[in-house]
Amino acid sequence: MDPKERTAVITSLVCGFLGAGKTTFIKGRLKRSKERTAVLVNEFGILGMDGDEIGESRSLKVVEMPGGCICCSQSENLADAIRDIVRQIRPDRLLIEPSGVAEASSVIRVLQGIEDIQLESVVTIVDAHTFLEDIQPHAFGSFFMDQLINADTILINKIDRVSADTLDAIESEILNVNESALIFPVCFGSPDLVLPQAMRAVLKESIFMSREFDSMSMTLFCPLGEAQLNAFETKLKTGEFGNIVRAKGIFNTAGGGKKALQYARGNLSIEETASSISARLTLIGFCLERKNLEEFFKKGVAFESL
Amino acid sequence: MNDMMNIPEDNQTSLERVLCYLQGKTPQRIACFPLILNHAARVLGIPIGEYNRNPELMGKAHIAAYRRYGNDLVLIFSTTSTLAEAMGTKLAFFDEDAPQIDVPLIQELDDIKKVIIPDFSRDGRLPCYLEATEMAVQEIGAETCVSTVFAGPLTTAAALRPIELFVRDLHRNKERVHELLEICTQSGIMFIDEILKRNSLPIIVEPIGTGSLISPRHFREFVTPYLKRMADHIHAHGSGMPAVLHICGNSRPNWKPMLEADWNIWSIDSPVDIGEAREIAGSHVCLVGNLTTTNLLKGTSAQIDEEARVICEKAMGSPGGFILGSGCEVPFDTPPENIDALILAARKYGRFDQ
Repeated sequence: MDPKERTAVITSLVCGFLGAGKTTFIKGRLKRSKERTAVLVNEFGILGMDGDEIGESRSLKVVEMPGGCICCSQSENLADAIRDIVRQIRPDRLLIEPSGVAEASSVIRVLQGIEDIQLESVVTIVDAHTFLEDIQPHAFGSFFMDQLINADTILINKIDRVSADTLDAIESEILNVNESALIFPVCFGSPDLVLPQAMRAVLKESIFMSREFDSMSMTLFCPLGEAQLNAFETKLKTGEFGNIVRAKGIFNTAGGGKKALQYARGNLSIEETASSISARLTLIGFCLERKNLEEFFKKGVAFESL
Repeated sequence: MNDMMNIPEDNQTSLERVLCYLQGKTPQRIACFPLILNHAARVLGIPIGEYNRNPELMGKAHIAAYRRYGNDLVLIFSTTSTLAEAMGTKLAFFDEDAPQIDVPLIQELDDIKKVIIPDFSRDGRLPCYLEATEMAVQEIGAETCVSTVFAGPLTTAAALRPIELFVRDLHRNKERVHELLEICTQSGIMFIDEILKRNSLPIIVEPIGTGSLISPRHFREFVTPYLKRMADHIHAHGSGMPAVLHICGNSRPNWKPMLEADWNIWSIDSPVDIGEAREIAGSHVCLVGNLTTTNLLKGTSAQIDEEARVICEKAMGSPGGFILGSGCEVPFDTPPENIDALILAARKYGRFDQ
């Protein structure tokens, strides 16, 4: 399969329930983005963007799409709103923040039917402080689990408000429903925020994310061989792809099998996998160099001969 | 052409057909309920924004839609938030869209004391609904079933409070939620009385009761008792009218507590399987549904015919009865020929006279 043509607008879906930090995450991405970005939000005035928050030399369009009946006919309104944005505004990138009670799978189904966009990533943000209460079987309808199951990146936000044991419990619950997502603890607070000592002792890597944090996902169309994986690890460490904190993915091998890769704390590990998930890579970090990553993974097996 | 020649002409009016269901008689063919709501504005050729604020235009639009399509149920409705609007939530209005929630009344829980039981002659657009209902009943009430649609207690409560806060309130502030649901139920029952006075069929929609939003446990606690009170009221005061409930989306997880609320007719959406609904609920309720609305908007007549055929195959003969319909609101810009195709499918696949 060939990669979709880049005329399709790269799109990210940002999900999460009330207060998880979706809006803060989006604002952060917008502030440092070098691209023309359009943002589609489900409610009026939710972003409350102002000049400081948008940053300089950005061309931003915020489109507010009122919620209405959340179940059904809104899917066509959403699809129409996206087509209008793409054709009239012509952004480089589209961020979509659906309602906090929307099922991610319903939104993804709509997005997959729109030729003008390419869904790059589904990020779900959860609130560490309330997660263990919210994940109880009868607390909510299926939307809450659906947002976890369909994410390729799950950010556990507000970790400054929980203990290390609670964070472990949260990660464990998330892995139970989605073992392929890249799960990462974050804290979208002030850059000067200080984590409790116990938490810092457990988390050995820098997890303070002011608003500089970013994530991306990509389909791996080409099989990967040893030479390319070695080059990938080198470039991760030298910063050619940005400051990558964590990566996780499934890739196809030249022999037709599949393997899983994880990158954490400066080390890349590869292992066999029986997963049936299609080849995909998710990365989180700072100042991600998307173009470099896309160019690198276009090479595929041909890399072996370089 | 051969198909058309083999389909007998209807020998019953829409109303006669629908009354068969209530009287335990077999109609010539199943009834068909395309849920024509705001689409009626398109039939009359007026902006939706005028339709949903002008009672005369709303009434004329539905009369025009009936005359055009021959739908067996006319539904006076514009948005699920209409009752909440009359009780204090602020809506935003658009030229070519249904109204949407702008500022829910209850930003802090103590704001519950600001919620009012509405004056149906004056508050919000309730008078608009009721006047449009009167027009439709007067003009076409002898030919087809006229109904007036509004949101049930849970959906109305959820429109009075920001939705995510409300969903969280269900497990953190139960008492306050019950307090709010009580006011919404009282308002809803009074609205039912106003509708019944005008010889229209009250239909309640509860989209917030869908399984994607609330769990079966919460449905049983926060929806069933209040919906049951409304059903009981219709049974006691409706002169034989059935209690008709519509829940959009994936209602399947909540079917058991829905059964406990004692409604007679369920209108269900396309994400659920009507065959499964027949197995679980078919002995207790008449099922209406459940053609995919995006198919109505974007499909061809042949696609609509085929989907309707499959639905009829699954649901015809359901013990409590079956009515072919759209799974949810007919999209505003549905091509008229697609609604024709749905009704034609009822005539083709829903016959009892062969």
